[in-house]
Amino acid sequence: MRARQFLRAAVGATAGALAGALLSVVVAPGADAAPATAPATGTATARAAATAGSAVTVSGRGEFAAMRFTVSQTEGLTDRAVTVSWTGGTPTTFAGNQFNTDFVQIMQCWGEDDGTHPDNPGPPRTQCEYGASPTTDRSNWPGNGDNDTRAVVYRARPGHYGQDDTYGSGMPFGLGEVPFKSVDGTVVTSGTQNNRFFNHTTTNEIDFARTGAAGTGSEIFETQTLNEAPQLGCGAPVTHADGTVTGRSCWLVIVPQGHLDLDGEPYEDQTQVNAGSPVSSTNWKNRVAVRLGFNPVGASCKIGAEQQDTMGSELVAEAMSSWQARLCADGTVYGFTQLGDADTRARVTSGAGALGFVTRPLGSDDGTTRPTDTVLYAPVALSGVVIGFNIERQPGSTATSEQKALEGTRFASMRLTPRLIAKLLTESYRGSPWGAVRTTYSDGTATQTAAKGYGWVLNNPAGLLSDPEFLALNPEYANQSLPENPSTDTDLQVALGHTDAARQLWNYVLADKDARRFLAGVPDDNGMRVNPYYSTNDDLNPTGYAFTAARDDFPKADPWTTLPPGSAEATVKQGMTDFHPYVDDMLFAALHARRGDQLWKSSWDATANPPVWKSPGPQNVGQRVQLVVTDSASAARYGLQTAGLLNSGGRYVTPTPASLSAAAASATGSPAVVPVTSSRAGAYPLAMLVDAVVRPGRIEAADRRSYAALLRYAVQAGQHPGITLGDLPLGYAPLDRTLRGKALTAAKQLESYRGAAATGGSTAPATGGGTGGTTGGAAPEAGGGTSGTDTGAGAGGGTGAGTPTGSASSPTPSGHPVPRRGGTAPDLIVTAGGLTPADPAVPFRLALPIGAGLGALTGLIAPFAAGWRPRIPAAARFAVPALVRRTTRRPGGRFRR
Amino acid sequence: MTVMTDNQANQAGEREAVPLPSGDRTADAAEATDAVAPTRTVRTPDTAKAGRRGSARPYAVGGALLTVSVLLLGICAQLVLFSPLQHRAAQTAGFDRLRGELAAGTVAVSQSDQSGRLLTPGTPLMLLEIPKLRVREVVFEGTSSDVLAKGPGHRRDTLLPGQAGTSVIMGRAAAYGGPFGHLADLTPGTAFRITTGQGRFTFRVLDLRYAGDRAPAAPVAGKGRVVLMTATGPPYLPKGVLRLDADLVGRATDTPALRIAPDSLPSAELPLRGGAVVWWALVLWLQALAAVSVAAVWSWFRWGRRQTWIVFTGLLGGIGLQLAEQITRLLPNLL
Repeated sequence: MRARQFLRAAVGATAGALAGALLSVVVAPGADAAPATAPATGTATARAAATAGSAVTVSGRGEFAAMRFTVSQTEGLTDRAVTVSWTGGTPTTFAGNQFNTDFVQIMQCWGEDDGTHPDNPGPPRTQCEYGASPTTDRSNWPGNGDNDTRAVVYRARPGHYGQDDTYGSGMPFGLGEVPFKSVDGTVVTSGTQNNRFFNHTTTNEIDFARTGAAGTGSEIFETQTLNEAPQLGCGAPVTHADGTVTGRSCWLVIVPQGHLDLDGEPYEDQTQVNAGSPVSSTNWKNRVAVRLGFNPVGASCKIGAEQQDTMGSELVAEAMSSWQARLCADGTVYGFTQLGDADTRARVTSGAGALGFVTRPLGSDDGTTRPTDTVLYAPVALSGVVIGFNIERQPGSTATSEQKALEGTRFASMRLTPRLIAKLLTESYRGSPWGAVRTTYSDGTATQTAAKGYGWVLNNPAGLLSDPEFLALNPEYANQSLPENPSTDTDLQVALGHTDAARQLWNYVLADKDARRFLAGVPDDNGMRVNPYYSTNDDLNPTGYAFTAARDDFPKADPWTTLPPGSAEATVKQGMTDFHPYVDDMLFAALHARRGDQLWKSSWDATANPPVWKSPGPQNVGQRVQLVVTDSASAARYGLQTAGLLNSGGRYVTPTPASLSAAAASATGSPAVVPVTSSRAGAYPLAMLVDAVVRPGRIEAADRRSYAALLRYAVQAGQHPGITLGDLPLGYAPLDRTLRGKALTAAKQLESYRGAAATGGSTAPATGGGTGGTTGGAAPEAGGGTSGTDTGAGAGGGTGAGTPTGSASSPTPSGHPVPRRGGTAPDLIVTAGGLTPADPAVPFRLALPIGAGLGALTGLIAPFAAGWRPRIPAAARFAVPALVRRTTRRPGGRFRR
Repeated sequence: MTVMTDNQANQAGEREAVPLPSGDRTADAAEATDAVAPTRTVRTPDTAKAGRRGSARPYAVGGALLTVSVLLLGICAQLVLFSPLQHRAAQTAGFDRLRGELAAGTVAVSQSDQSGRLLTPGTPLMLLEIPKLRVREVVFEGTSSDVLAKGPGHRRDTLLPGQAGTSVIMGRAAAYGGPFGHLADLTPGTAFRITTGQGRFTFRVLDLRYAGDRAPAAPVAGKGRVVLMTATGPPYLPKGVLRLDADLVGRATDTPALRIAPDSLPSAELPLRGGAVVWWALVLWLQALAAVSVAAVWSWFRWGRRQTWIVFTGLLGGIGLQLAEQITRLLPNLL
């Protein structure tokens, strides 16, 4: 009834509400808290790194008596790189592009001392791996065909270097070869340059090492074991009378070449390069030999011994191979299978009864959930992803005299920003999609034309070393002149497969604002644009979909294919995987970079059947340009130079044990994941902590004890840096006491695990440290344990509030929840690289202005709706007297009572 | 329409029954005239429209619009004018309770109380003092919009300030006193204090942070951090989330286990979410408003205007305020 009165009353009521100032009363039940104890945290004290002190220095003889050669490591060798450096030499001279006088040649040999030089024992020259240079097919190779092969000229009484008093006697003009004798007794007498044992892609010989202006030089030499060079047999296990096993030792032989002939006078004919083969009898007299002690290869573990399988991240492979050899002595063989990290997690999650090595928690991959039973994580190794490089100076015509003096030597350092890495990973340099830009010459002017859809590449620098952003950061690299093509500096050599290492690198890129903007399509300061196939902007990306950069692999997203320019008769097109082939893993990446292997098969072999693209072999001495993504242990193994990366603190940090440890101190969660954004001074942004992950509920008690023993060894004796088997290989950083304590705790829990005790509600399932992928999968469990104790008071407080789900780092079987330290709520740091998350959509954002506006509007039109009309001219008033009479009073009378 | 006609008829009848104050007489007489006018007026072209659908329609529409207007403006006024008072009252009550509990040493220092139950949202937990902003606020447990109406709220799935790890405190930027409205004025290095049951802790501001900015590295073991969160954008127009990181000066204190895992908070407690409204409460308050309004109308005519003013002003005001509060809970919690 009485709607009008009701209406009036309602108006009055709401108006009254404005006037009434009733204050709400705070009511909340008392709540007392029981502070839980927190375990004390130990101070991180990294164990001092012990370094191998097996360097040896020897002197030259005769005309090279002033030279002193130092080999950085001569014991405990495996397939790795050692540095050979020398002083007291004469600077190298050149004839054109060829090495002419005063250079050094290095090779590896097998065998016993032949007694020719009692003061410097060494092997016979027939047992040296030398002479497999690519000189025959390559006109720009800096050798003359003699000094880089085993070719000699027979003379009964040699008068010049390169002549030989033994081999080639029966040959026309005495042109012979020094034979090669394999360790198995096979002798190769002809065709040694490409023989059945070694060739230019497998040999480790150094044909040309230059002596600088100061008379010094340095070269990095790969020592090969019997795995890489069975013909030498270095490291073959030798059992001694007392039962100890050592590796067969070998020799490193250095042959210096001088500027004087055999008679001590300068060469007669100086119009050509006179140097001869180092294995000729004349040159061999000057050889300097250094004994190389190898670790035994492959025979430390008895066949048929008890085996425990482990699997996982490549980052731990180097350490595992060292620990494994040492642990064999205790009777257990810990097999290691290198797998992608995501694959490892999937296998552990699906119940494989083996120990895995991962750097991120189970359930952190898209579409996976962590298992609900107990999962133990134990940190075992601290490694890192590194950008390794092997770049030799090739100063151009604009270079300064200082730069020209250093020609052919390696750059020692490099600084990279996330954006530069993004440019390399996204194939954005002009030389990367090879052939997309073609240069045509007409009337003496060069015109560059881009292929359809590749107009973006025209303004991009050809490669990293011509990128103004890079040069501003690395002024040392200015004025270099080198071919910038797919085999040099246009991208990074990367490994195939899905790895956390790749994810870490992408996260590092994404954590940087400039790099993100670059990926989104914003040109850099010099107008360089991203390859649109890698653009995270779907408007820009020709596929119509944004490129997802938060990923764990390195896709070749650009579908560019072409017949490479300059290969007229080629019939097979090449694509990005041909220009930039994948390598198997990060160890191979480092090895290729060390050797200077060109992975791009760039020469068309029309004579093959069917015709194919072939690799032209290693890059020329002094012209190597290699950029790879590898890990710190592999880089250390092959003596690769590593780039300093910009960290969140604004510093450029190279991977060293100290910088890795500094970064690991910022690691959070369980297992601890090292953030790419650690802003500590000296923190290397791509450090990675490898955790062993194991589900004790899936493993027999005996196996648990066995794995626990492995964990104990790994974090105790296995953290001692060194070169002997069982040590922590170089390139890793020893774990600090806190992390080792965590691993020991996990080992203890693994050993003492009781399945029955852990199945109760007391054990919280382990979870990740709040990293992305866990969120969705974990949700269903949140409600599972809502117990009666949960008061559930308050708005929406019921869901998951009382559930102690997934917070324990290493759940203890006894049921004590382990405090979650430094808990990170997901919307604090959720995105890759520790970025502040995007703003959420705001509901009812404009509620207040719209509400106020609407209120005012309805308030204004209400009188009109009720029939009120403003006063209008008198004529109108007379026309509608009743209405006017009504309206003149209504606003005051009806609604403002 | 028929109801309206009855209504008018009754109203007209009531005029005789209730003598009107002289000041209102003309108006009311006119009203009476108006009320019945359409039924007896010869229809002019101007009134034809109203007359076609029944004579009372203009008043109904106008009255309804006016009601909507008053309700909307009332809610806005509550948010802008009265919410600071409510906030101040809640602060006073909260401070009284916190002071007592601090003195007794019974303030909660973890997510659960002594008997292991989770803390009720709205429990006062700590005192936040930012001298530079003249902020001295009791911080309550929980971050839903009703808790944030009382003052800044501690996000339930994080640790408490002073403990080793990251803690989050969210506060409103404008409404309900807008305790964090001037957070953006804090410069790196500024110190502020938080007093919890574990002691008084000093924090030093690292920096402000907006969406997409790089977050500082997580605090190392044994260090604490507090993140203050509020809304960006003009007052009452929240646009995004502003975060202020501040590191604990000195070592962290004992750190209990987290019982509420990250990710498990209801969405109403996440930043810039609304929806902590309890619908049945809203409906009941609306019903109460309707019932009291009817009673007020009845009382106006049957009891007396003076009495009606005295009795119903406060009653309707209180109900209106509760209603407005229920509705403002729908709005983003950092508003």
